[in-house]
Amino acid sequence: MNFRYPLLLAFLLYVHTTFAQNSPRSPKAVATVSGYVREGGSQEALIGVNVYLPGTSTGTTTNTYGFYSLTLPTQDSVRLAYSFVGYDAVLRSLPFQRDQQLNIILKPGKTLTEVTVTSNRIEEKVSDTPQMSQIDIPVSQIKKIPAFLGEKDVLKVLQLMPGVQKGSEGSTGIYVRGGGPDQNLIILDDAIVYNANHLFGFFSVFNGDALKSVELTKGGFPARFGGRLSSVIDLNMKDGNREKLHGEGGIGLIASRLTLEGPLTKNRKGSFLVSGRRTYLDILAAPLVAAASEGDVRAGYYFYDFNAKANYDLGEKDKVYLSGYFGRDRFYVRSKEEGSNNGLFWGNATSTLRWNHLFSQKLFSNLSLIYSKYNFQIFSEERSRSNADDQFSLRYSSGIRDFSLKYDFDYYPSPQHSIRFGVQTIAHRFTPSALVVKNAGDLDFNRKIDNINVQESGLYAEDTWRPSDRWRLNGGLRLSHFVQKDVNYFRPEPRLSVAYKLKPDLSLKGAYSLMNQYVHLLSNTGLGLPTDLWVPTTDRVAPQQSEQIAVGMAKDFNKSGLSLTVEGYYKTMKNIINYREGASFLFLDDPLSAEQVRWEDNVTAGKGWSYGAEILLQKKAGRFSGWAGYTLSWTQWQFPELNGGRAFFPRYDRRHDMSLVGIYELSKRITLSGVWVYGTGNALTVPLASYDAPRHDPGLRQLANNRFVAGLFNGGNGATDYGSQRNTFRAEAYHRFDFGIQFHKQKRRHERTWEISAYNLYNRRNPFYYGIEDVYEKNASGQSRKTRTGLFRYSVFPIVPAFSYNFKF
Amino acid sequence: MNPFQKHTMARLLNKSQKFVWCGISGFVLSASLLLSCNTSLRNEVDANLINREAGKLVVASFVSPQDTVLAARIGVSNPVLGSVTATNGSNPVTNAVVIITNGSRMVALRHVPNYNNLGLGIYVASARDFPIVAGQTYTITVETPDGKKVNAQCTIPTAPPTPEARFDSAVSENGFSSSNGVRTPFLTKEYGIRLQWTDPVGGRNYYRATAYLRSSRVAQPANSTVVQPITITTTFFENSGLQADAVSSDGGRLISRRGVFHRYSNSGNSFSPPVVTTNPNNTTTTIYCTPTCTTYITGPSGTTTISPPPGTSTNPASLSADINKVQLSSLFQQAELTYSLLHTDESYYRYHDSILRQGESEGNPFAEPVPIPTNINGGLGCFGGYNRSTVVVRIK
Repeated sequence: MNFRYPLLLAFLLYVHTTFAQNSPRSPKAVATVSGYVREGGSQEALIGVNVYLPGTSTGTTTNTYGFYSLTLPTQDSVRLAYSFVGYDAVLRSLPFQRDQQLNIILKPGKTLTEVTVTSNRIEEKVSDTPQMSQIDIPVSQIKKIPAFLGEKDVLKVLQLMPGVQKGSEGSTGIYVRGGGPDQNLIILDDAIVYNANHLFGFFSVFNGDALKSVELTKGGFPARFGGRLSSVIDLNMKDGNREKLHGEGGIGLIASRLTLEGPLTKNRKGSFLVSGRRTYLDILAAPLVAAASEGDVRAGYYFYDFNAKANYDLGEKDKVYLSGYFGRDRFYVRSKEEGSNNGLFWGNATSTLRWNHLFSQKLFSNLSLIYSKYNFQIFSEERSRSNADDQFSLRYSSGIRDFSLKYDFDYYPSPQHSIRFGVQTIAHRFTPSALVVKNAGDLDFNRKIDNINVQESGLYAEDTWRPSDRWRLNGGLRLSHFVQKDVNYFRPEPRLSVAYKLKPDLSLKGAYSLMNQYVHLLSNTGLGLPTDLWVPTTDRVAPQQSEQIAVGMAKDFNKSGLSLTVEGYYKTMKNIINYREGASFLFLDDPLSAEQVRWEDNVTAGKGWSYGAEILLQKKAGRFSGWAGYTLSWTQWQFPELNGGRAFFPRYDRRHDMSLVGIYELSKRITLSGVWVYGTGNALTVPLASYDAPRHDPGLRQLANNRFVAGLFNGGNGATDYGSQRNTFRAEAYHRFDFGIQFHKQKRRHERTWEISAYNLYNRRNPFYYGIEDVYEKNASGQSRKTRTGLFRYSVFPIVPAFSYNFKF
Repeated sequence: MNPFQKHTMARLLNKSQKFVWCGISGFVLSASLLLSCNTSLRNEVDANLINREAGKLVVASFVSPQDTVLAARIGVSNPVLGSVTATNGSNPVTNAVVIITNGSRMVALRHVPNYNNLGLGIYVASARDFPIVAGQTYTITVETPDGKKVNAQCTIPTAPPTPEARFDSAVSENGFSSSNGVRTPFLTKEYGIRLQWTDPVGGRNYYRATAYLRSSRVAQPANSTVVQPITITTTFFENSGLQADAVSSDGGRLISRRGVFHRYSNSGNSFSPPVVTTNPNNTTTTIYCTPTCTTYITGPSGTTTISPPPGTSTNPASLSADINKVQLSSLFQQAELTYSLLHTDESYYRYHDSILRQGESEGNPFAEPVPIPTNINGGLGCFGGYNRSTVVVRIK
């Protein structure tokens, strides 16, 4: 008997009693206040605003749509406080005899004067919530942190947090608590983004100007999230300004961007936002490429993003939102002389239609219809000018497409409980690979692996429960279901987070979560290449599963606005997949048998475990803000078919990882910022020796004298010795310092910001990869001759200065 | 897909892989060049970081009850870094002491220069004095005067079941030529063989299928006016014969991969080098592609080219109709097929399997490196045991 079923039973019992207790008793005993909290000036809904009775622990927070609901015993009057980091708090006294609606406007606070703490609970506090292992970074802060080439990147800022690591230099790949970049659920307005990379991972697809909030959960997952093992990165797009037309944009070294937002109608019931970004390296480089090839070659690369969102209030109880994202990377090389045309395209498209409906003041609902697509295409054409028959073309494409339906409910029966429940179902269609080759004079191929249709569903319920002033709990259960042809999985996923308050500002926390992942990413490099391929669970590849226990403490320092979290975690992962030794993404054939193999034959499953400790000292607002983070961790993998079945450290096992981020508002007009990061080097497998590996030759061998003898040995097999243990070579440690300075000025009609920044200010040569290469030297007669073989470290980015001009109106 | 198609496919895929990689590295490179006038992004690192396994003894020895000689090949590994002389060349060891024991008895293998044309580093002993027995465990020790000493153990597997052979033939289109819009297909007739046998119940078993065809016929080599009998030996399954039972298929019926032992094609392309065959009078003849339609006898070790059988049309267009009429037996005067099944130990299987996979993925930047496992304590290579059962079939 599995221990999860008694848990399930207990949960159902609990849900039953909770709902029963809160079924309407006397209508006069309690009353509900509910409404929306919005930002002053833009009417943008604010997420995660604290709504509470000052001096007590009674309260709630606004949800993703800015909605809150608080049910209290009726009384003559109550004093309600609304507070949110970076905004001035609002206090309201109101008579409390019956149900009422109260919409609140919060005004952005002044960062240059330290926030005066007027009550002991004015700010959002980490010690107050049962949720642990969660990081949220204000988007305004992200915009002040120096970025590579001045392109602000949400994912790269998340990499600066403890427990979250980058992969290789400059890459947006995210490794959370020993999990791979495939184990992150990245959702933009409810839609899954399958490949968050531009430019082979150097930039992410998220344009900061269009984002309202970013939140990363790395443990203690609430039941509303499921489908990935290691993290949830929840991004929400801005709704758009309801008051008047605003714009924001920037001109940088490699890209420019522009965002426009404004009211949809005169009655201020709706708003829109459109945002675009495009790189122009291709346009700048075009004359150079043309000159170098005497006009023959056209080659270039660019990417663009386009975000759009609109929302409209249909009435007090109903609101609709429509949002979408579309982005593409294109890389092309054309040569007239060779008659060739080659290209690589990839990109995501998502769209979400949402309908908020208030069934009552206590019951909020959202229905989402979501579409998401990622596809990747290579094409290569060659056409000989002299011979029309001599032509070659190749087209390879792969991708994934989802339609999903999601219905979520937020139920606020009393201040002690806030309950969420809902259901989601996703119809995935995978196109693992389709290859079409036309080759005159040779042979044609039209090889397509059939599309795979699967259905993934989840049903969840969770309750954030405050049984007493000291205890906070979030318990939940997610029932996940997956079906593909003959494969059917039904797996319950219990989740629990508990916090115990030792002191008003100090709490101990613990969390347990079980996660299942039914889709897998085949990735050879960990670089975030477009060739990374999503594949489903099948009859031969089982779902991945993880269990994680985290314990920690959270402390708030009210005076300074600092918060400190210390956490330890232990995570196990089952059925994680990796390419077999020697396999790679394009080899559809078994090299040994000339027989077609399924992609499953190229992968192998194993287990992994990770444990570590994380410290985060963070200050989200104020004249000086930022954080210091440190992670000490160990990650190991064990696959029966890799490394001879012995455990090994995967490439991105990182013993020490540290980051210091500081933002200082020197004056009204000048902002300084700096980032320093340090990380242990990657664990790599490198050749240790080379040798001739004789093979057994069981057949006959012909000798010159017409005798056939037993072959014995088949020599000449130049072999590389990688040692007996995988990934024993440690790359040199990674560290760098980035620095930025922003000059703000309020002009008559707009605000402009000049930014000058430098990536890797002290020009550290961080390892990107190591190569074994021959060294040639000139001898006395001037001939170049190979003299020896050496080990070389390649770095990608030396000091990279950047400047940009940004404006806002 | 037949091997020819497979070859083309692999080439195309390889091309596209290279393209992706060139694109990526090209971008990274140009980006870094554009961004920085400082080109010192490539720095040499201390070689001592990785040169740890150089100078190890490489031992290969595969023993079975059926072999008449015990043989071992001994060499030394090279460092991957360092001078040209240090990193290059095979390093046969000619002065080692090589001993195989079964616990109670021992035999010393002595170095025989150029034994069976295999060059230096081959050590042999007659199996008559030291029979290899199934189920027994043997230990090999190799010691060199400069103080290197390694050892390894293997246990001889039980006798494999006698395999059955299944033959098949298939005609397939193998590309085409195009001229003025007229498409002329190249047809290929292939003769294939698969071995099948019943896996013994219990434990994991590892196998290797192997076979060769010896045929003789009368041919007129291109550079000779004399029609004379020649003997051709074709081995196949060379690289593809390795097989292991799956945990799920323990005790079940196993079928080897398909070995192609004869291919007849009407394609005018000559895509392989000429092959040396041997005449009865012990002189060798090199057969080149004959001017008209040709027959390829293809084994993984090479291709033999012979002139078309008498009476066959030399016109490719009409041959495409005739190819179905080609009979294997009409191509030889005599032919004898020998196939055998090797029941190997795990070290033997893993060692060979990984050498092949490493060779296939070499130079592919996307592939995970393939380590070659070794059971030689303190060294590299493999001391493997196997047991063989053989069937000889006279085809004509």
